This record gives sequence, C-alpha cells and structure tokens, in this order.
Amino acid sequence: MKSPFLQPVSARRLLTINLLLATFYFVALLVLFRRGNGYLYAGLVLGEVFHVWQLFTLIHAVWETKVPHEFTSRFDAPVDIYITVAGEPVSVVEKTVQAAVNIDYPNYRVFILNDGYVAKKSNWQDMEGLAEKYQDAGVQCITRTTPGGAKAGNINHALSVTTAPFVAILDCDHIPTRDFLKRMMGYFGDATVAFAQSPQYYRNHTKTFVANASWQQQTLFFGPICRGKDRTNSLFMCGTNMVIRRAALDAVGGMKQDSITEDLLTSLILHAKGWRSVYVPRILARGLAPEDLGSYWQQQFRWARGSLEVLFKFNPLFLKGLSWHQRLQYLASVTYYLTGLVVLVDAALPLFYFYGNIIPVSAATMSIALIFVPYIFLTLYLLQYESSYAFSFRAIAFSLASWPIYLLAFVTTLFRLPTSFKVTSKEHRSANYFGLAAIHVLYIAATFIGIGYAMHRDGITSSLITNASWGLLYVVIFAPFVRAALSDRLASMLPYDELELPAEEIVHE
Amino acid sequence: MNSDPAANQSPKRVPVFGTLLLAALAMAAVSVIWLLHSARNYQETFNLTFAAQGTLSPVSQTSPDDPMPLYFWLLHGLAHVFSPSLVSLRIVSLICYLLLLPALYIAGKRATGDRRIGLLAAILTALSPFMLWYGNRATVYALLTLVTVISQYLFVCLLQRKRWAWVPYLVVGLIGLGLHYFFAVILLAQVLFYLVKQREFSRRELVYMLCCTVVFAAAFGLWMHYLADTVHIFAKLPYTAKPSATNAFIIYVQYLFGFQAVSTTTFVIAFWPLLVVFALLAVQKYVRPPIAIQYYSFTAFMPLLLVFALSWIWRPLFLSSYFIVCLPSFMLLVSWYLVAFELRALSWARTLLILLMVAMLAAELANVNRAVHEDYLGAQTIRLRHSDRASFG
Repeated sequence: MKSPFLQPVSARRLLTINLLLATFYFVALLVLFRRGNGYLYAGLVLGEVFHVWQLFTLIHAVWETKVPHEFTSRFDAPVDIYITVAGEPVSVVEKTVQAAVNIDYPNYRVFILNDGYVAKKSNWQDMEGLAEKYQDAGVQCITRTTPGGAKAGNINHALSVTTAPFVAILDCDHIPTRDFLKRMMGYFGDATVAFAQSPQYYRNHTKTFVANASWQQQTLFFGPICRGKDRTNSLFMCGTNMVIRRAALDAVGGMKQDSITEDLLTSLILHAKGWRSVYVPRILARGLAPEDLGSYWQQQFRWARGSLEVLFKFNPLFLKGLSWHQRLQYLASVTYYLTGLVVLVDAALPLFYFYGNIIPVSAATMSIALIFVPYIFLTLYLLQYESSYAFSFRAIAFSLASWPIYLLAFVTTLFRLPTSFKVTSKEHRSANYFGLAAIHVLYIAATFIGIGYAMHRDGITSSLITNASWGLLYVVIFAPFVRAALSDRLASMLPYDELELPAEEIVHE
Repeated sequence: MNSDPAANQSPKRVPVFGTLLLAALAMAAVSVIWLLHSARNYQETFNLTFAAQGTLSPVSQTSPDDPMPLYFWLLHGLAHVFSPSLVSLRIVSLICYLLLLPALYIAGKRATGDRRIGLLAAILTALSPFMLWYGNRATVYALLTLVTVISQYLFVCLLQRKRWAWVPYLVVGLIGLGLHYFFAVILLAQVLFYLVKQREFSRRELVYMLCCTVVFAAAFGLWMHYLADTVHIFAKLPYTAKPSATNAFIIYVQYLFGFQAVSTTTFVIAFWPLLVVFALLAVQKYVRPPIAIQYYSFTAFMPLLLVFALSWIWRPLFLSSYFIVCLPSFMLLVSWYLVAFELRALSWARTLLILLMVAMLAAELANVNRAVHEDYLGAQTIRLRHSDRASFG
C-alpha cells in the first residue's frame, strides 16, 4: 500500500528560501536586535541555534527523496521471522502469527520470541500454547530463561538457536502483509545491504486521541525523513518491520545490548562498519500505537533516553567509519530529543515578562515579526508539503508538549540514573493520567495569572499584548496534551474535530 | 481536499444570491447615509477638476501622484453623459465597489470550488472599512480593485487550463496597467507564479504566457518611458518616509479594520504572535491549498514585500492606497483559511472576525469626517521640502 505520506516530493526552491529566512532571522537576532536580559537572550539564541540546526538537518535529509535501489525479484534466501513478545495478550500476538504464516514467500520459518518468562509475566506460557496451535504451520516458540539485554537480548538469544541467513523482526502487534518478504528480500541481492526497514504504520490510529497523535507524528519521520536518510545511507532500524542479514549482525556482535534503543545503536555500528541499509517506503505491516497517555509517555521516554544515550556514549560525530552525511543524520536523530530543553526555555520567556518584566530582546516587536512570521509560516508549510500534507497540528503539539518527557530523559541520561526497558502497552488503559500533564496545566494557569498580574502592573501595553500572545501560543500547543490526559468521560465532553481520512488510511483489520 | 476545485462541491447549500444582494444593499445604504456626502480630499478635488474640464486632455495632465490615463478618460466619457460632480464621481466608485462583491464570490468559487469561500470573501470585503472608504471616493482605487479581481479570476482560469481565458487575460492586464502603474506588481506576481509552476503547463501555454509578459512589459515600459520623459513622473511620485515593519503589518490590519486610531491599530498588531497559532492550526492532515489559493497567498504578500524592499533599496513607494491591489487576494486567502479546515476553533474565529469588522466599521463611520485616511498634508509638506529636486505643478 502506498499511502500519501510515502510519496516522494521535491521542494528545493522552498527549502532554500526557508533556510535563508532562518539564517536571516538568526543573524538579525544576533546583530540587529538590542539585547535585553543577558541570560534570557543567551537562552533565546541557543534555542534558535538548535532550531536552525534542526531545519538544516531536515533540509539535508529531504533535499532528495527519490532513492533508486537495486531489487532482485528472484532473491529468495531463507528467512527466520522473529515475533518479539514480552507478556502481551495472546489475542494481539495471534493476529501477527496468523498473518506471518500466510506470508507469500518460499522459504521461511516463524518464531515467537517469548520474553514473558524473564519479564516475569504471568501469561508467559500462553505463547507456547499459541505456538503449538500453529505447529502445523511450522511456528515455534523460543522462550528465554536467562534474562538480560531486554529486546536485544531476546533477539540475540534467538539468533543463537536459529540458522537462516536472514531474520525478519516484527513486534508482536505488527501484522505483516502477505507480500512482506517479497517486497523486502529483493534488496538483499546486494551483498553489502545489512538491513531493510519498512515504515511503522498504526492501524489503531483512529481509535483514540493519543493513537491518532502518535500516528500523525510518525508520518513526517517515515515519509520524507526516512527517504532522505535512505539516500545518505543513515537510516536506522526501528525495532520492527525489518529484515536483517545475519552475517551483518554477526560482524558487529549481534544486536547491541548497551542501549534501550538497541535498533538505533546497532544500525549506527553497522553503518560505521561500512554496511548499507535500504528503506522500503511501503506499508508492509500494521501495528498498534499507544492508545493512552501513559503508554505514549513510556514509549517517548524510551526513545528519548535511548537516543540521548547514543549521543552521550556513542556520539556519531566521533565514531570512526561514518561519512559526513551519516554523522549529520545520526546526530540530527539523536539530538531531536534536546527539544525538551528548548521548548522549556521558549515557553518560559513570556512568564519572565509577566512576573519580572524581563525580556530577552528589546527590539521593536514588529521588526522581529516581519522576519519571524514569513520564516515560521514557510517552515510549517514545508513540513506539510514534504509529508504530502499528512503532518498535522496535533503531531506538532504532541511533539512540543512532550518536553517534560524529553527533559526527564535528558536528566536521567546525564546523571546515568537507572531505567528499565518497558514495552509499550498494546491496549487502551483507562487510568488517571492527569499527573502527566500537570506541568502543562500549571503553565496554562501561570500564563493566565501572569497576564492579569502584568496588566495590573503595567496596564495594557503593546509589550503585554505581544507577550500574552506568545503565552497563548504555548497554551494552544499544550492544550491537546492536556486533553489527552483527561479521563475518557471528561474528554468525550470536549469538542473534537474528526479528520476525513483517505481510503487507504482507514483501519485495516 | 482535491486540488482541482471544479471537482469539489460545496458541502452545504448557501443562499448566495440573497446574501450578496443583502450585503450590497446594506453597504449601498451605508454609503448613501454616511459616506457619499462626506468631505472631499485632495485627490478627489484634482479628479473632479480634471473631469470637469470636459476635454480629452493629453496624458501629460495626469495627476502628479497617480498616473492613470484610463480612469481620466473614463471620467471624460462620463462628463459627456452627465455633469460631473463629486457625488457622481463617487457613485462610479460605489458601483465598482458593489460589483466587487459578486466578482469576489465568483473568484472564490472558481479558486476553490466552494461557494462558502467566495461568499465569505464577498462579505468580508463588504464589511471592510478600508474597501468601503475607497468605494466612496472619487478616485481610481475601487475600479482598480475590480479590474484586479477580474484579472485574478482570469489568471486562475489559466492555472486551471481554460484556454478561452488567454485573450481576456491579456486585455484586462493592459486595462489594469492603464488604470494604475502599480497594477504592474500584480502582473509581475502572476508571471512569477506561472514560472514557479511551469512544470504543470504545456510548452504552448508557456509560450502564451511569455507573449503576454512581453506585451505587458512593452506596454509598461513605453508607458513609464513616456511618463519619465515627458511628465518627469519619478520626480513627482509621492515622497513618503521609508516604511517600517509596522507599516507593513498595518496594511493588512487596515484591510480588515480600516483606518482606525493609531492606538487601536497598534493594539491590534501587537497580537502578531497569534499569527503563529493560526499558522499551526492550518497544519491539518490532507488539507492542501488548491493551486489558486497558493497563487492568492503569493499575490497577497509578494507585492508588499517587493515594494517594501524597493522602498529601502531605491526610494519610498509605500502607500496603503496602492496596496489595494492586494486586498482581493488577502480576502480570498482569509476566507479559504476560515472555511476550508472545517475546524470548530476557526468557525469561532470567523464569527469573531465578522463581529470585530462590524464594530470597526461602525467606529469608522462614527468618525467619518475626522479620520485621516491618507496624510496628504504631510506628504505635501515633505514634497515641498524636496521641491528643489523637481518642479511640480
């Protein structure tokens, strides 16, 4: 299935103008505008450095998104399909197993990689029962009894007891299409290809507000960004919907167990060793997005922590064997999670004005606007355009509102605080997640009280209106996150603009 | 949303004719009661004097501020039909302003295939104190705006591959140039947009556009050469101060809320960060602007940015009345934004905008003889200061 977000687009003229505008704004910030408070100014400038960096690396990625790869349609080497499980319900896993045994490919076996026992899940034996049920179709269950290495450990253990030269990895909720292997294996005719990755698609994205936001966040990454990373041979494995060459894994000592984002780290090492990767821009498996804020938080924290660990421990900038393009793209991916710090600084600026009458720049606000408005408009338009209009405000809002998660990940990584690998829940859990958005609620309250306080102090001035508008901007951005934290009953009472989706994005159960 | 608006059908039936008629009648009544007999300004006095001469004068007698031969010829023609008076000249503008409403509706429907967008653009234009003001002045601007909308409509037809539109487009373009030299920025924007989108057109269409461009450039070049050589127009252009960023934003605030007191306008533009909120809300899944809306976005802002840059690089040219050519594009863009996304927040914004415009319109009408719409006295003072640069009559 070729969903709109997977279509390649080219907008080099707009990308160039956007970069010029961003640079102009940055230079204006440095040179043209009069500085206010030194600390706030430094924060603003550093934040802008980060924004320009993100924009630059995005442009570098999406500059060219049509990538030709050699495809050998008759390539049919044996494959072992690994379905990784760590205590998920049988009902979820069975759908994946059913689909896996029906894959149209001449030479493959299906293994359930059962980590339920080491994860101390009460239902661990159910997987063995499930394997028995599909025994005739050749399904086997590999139950690990020695813990360690989380998902990477599970895969490495399976590698030690299976033999096929290629392994396909599916999370237990990712239902493969019948042509999954036929679409993926042809790229391995090139002996330098270590792995092929297809997009993660969430089949439950119309089910809940959070699932929908999660999916919309993915469209930009699995659309133009992955295509661009494919061009620069810096695509990394995303944990599921991928096929890996065993020889490549052997060459780097298996899946890396030093990080909770084992897929990212292993990809980095593979690329450093000269292996190549392929992105297959087709939806070949359909999984489940986190349906509640708790699961979303867990997933984002794991990704953020893993990525920041790679940044601090295995910095791509200094890893030998990578090309300049690869360093840039890996660095872009792992530094994304520093967004938390930047959003915190940017969102706090209006509060400093409200409560302390402190501002970072004291330039005429309209001069800033004349440069900033075209720059931000074009940036947002480009995000839309590059994702073939699949990206959305909800995705942006969730990305920016996730700053406490990213900040927490940053702090825990920096101080090397221990954390455990937690699998994202595959079911909607009706719990009270209001605490996860408490800081956002606090911000909203502080903004409104601050506006009142500053109005009392200064009267209605242009500065107050402009700062109040900035504050309101962040209120609007944080609002969807707060909505997601509300109980189902409360949330159902709020207005919700349903999306009209194209036919190919409707649930495919 | 389909990028081909012809394929789109409006989701709801709206009483278009009745609404347009009601809007036109209401604004005609407002004009007759408050504006038609209001105090005249400098430019109107000149136009009236010129029309009253009753002879087809050479172009050299054109206004020192605005070279607009076709408008003066029109005034001459009318002078043969009825005795020119301030009110009769203003009625000409009023008719153009009222015709602008159905024209904008048709342009909006053509651009997006959605009647609601065309209708909202017409309503916003009807309620615009800025447009209403120029719709009741004995100046070229209402006619210029009407011709601009027709040119925009024809250009959108070209974007939608309607072959019949080429000749009318060329003719209307030339008329626009004859009405006011500032119309050239719209033609420039059209040519640039066509070039940017060139991959979507056949070689034959590109040749046609090239021919039109050559004709426009030749007409404009000859016209400018004549004005520079004979009338020394560049010495007579209004001498204004270099524009500030605030001036640029004020133009769009004026489109919506008219010529309000400085404190009110400053208050409104201080909300500018909320533009980012509106931009964020526009990032919606699978709502893509049709090509015509991309074009209207371009013509709503590009002329202003161009003139802003020219004003700093070359010489100040920044007069809000000139930018009336951007008003139709801006109104169509705002209407598309408020309708196409089908968001609850934007339907509230739509209602709020209309209420605010009505309030601002009322405020302007209450001060109709006090409002300073163009600072001609100030401009004249500046001109006198620079009188050593050139002689002017």
